Amino acid sequence: MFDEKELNYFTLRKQIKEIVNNKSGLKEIRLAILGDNNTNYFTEILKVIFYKLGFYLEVFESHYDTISQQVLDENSDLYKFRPRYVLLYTASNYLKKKLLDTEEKERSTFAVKYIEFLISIWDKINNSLQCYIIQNNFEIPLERYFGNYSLKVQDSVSNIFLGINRSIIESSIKRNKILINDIEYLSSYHGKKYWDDDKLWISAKTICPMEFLPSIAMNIAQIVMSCEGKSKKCLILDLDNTLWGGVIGDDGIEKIEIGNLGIGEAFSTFQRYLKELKKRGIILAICSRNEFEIAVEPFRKHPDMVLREDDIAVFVANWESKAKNIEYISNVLNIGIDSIVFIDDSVFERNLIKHIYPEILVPDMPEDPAEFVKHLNQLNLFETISYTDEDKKRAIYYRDDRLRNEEKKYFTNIDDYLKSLTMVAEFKRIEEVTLPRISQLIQRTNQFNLTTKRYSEKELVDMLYNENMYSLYVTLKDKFGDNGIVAVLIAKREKEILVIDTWLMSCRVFSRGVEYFTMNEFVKFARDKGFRIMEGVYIPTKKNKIVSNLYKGMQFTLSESKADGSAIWRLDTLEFNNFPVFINKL
Amino acid sequence: MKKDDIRIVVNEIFREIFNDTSINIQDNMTANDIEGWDSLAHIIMIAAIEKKINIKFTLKEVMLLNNISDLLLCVEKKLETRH
Repeated sequence: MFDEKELNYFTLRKQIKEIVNNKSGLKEIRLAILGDNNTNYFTEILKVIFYKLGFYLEVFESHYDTISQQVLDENSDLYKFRPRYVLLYTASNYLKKKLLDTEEKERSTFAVKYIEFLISIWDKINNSLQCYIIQNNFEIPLERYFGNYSLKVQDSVSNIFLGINRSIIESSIKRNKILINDIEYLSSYHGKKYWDDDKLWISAKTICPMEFLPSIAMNIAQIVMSCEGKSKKCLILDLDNTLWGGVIGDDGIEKIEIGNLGIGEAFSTFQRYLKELKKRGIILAICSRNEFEIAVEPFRKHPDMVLREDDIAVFVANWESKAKNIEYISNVLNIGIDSIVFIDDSVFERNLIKHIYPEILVPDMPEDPAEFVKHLNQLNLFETISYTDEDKKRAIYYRDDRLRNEEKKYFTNIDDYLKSLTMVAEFKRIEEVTLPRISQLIQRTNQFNLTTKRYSEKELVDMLYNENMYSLYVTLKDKFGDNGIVAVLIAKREKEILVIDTWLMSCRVFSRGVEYFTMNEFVKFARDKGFRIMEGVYIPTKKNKIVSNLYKGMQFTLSESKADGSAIWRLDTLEFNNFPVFINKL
Repeated sequence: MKKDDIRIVVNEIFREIFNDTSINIQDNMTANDIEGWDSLAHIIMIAAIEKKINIKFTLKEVMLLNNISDLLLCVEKKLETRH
């Protein structure tokens, strides 16, 4: 998120003093670092990076090389600290020494034994703590004892390291609390020639030179931000000199540089990069000062355009200010301003947007379009902790959404429109197979979220087997496509009362009556289970104002309201009248 | 870089790393005379000098350079052999 220039070790280190004085009011994140090397240097920088991102990092640091002791002793300081994140920070140099000191005949089992050790550490931690574990892979050592042939020798140092890295990934895929800190990538990115430093390893036991520590810290911070639901979801793009060379309004469709014309290939390369992001679920929107018909023409007709109109979720081209248009885009897509990244070649526009919306991420752009991809990639804008089928389909949802909106224009009456959608929904108990998507919704949903409790998958699994908890979800389909799982409701029995602990809904399906459908079904569910009284809780956050009075509209009456803005609402299920909805139950 | 310039640059680095703008390094000073000059800060200080003056200390130097006169002399020698 920060530019490499901002990640200077010595400059960052100077900011440590500031943190102590300014930490009040910042959200605290508890992270434990367990290392087999000297983590002190790194911890300082990690704290500064979190501070710059607006968080206070409370760190527990194990003594040098005490990973096993901390993890295996149930009364250790690690468990007393109760971290939300455990960072296993292990050095390639340490592992290498261990390997080189291993007898040849033992080497064939070295990787397997090491992975078994790591897994035992992970499982032991997760048995006691509901936390994420951030595990690094290992920089493949530079030494090639057989030269290029090393890769053909089964038990060469290179191959053992490659094997360990692969096994770490494979084992982590089966455990969703294990997140990968890709040190092998970072070391290659910065250059192993510079990364590998025996002098520093011997004298200070740091895994790499100081100058690269900010880059590792940033990597960790991005993983944590993603767990905290602070992901970026949408790229808003300028057109002229951003997606193609030249000015479409002046040069016309035949003269803009794209494909084979002039420096066009640089822009095609950039478009391919964007298209790949779109395929993985990042929403693309256009915001351009142009006549709409002129601006959209290349997307429809230019043979060398990689991006097509269908790839763009919202296409805004007019003469309004970009600030106003961005607000419009965020409304249409129903996404928070802080989940937007704004890309524009103009310094003026970038500064304006930074000024008006400090929450929007506005990367500086290189002058040379041939550097766009490298520059944006380096910022690692779209870190994620999961990738589900829903992500793959997201682009299609938004396209369907656009079609829905277009259709809307033909109906003057909203009911007629909703009827025409022929919506079908399911209301079901959560099963384990749906947990990845459910957990993702729980992590990401900010607006329609009554209590904003970020349960982990592990906690959700526990709820499934708790007979006093009822975990439910809603799916929605219509004639334009399948929206998948769109709402989650978790309730628990408290004596005679059924308390709605969590209720959230994807912003994609606002204003279609899904919340009323959910309540109709849930009241029926409650009655079937023999509950008469139901309680709903609202806990305010910066983003969920939209549902502050939801329960009122759901026929609940206010039972208690607290100074912090939270409230408890009650409903007598026998007095409840079903809401009219245009959704059929499957 | 002249002898005096080296002293100024190194002094500046000391002020920054040990967070004290009043530091004036003297030849007879050792790690005991400067607050915060522990093994951790030592490595950072060495890295800062390497980066700033674009030289490389050897492992042995890193481990032994814990007084100002040796440090300045060492930097001086490295710069001489570079030219």
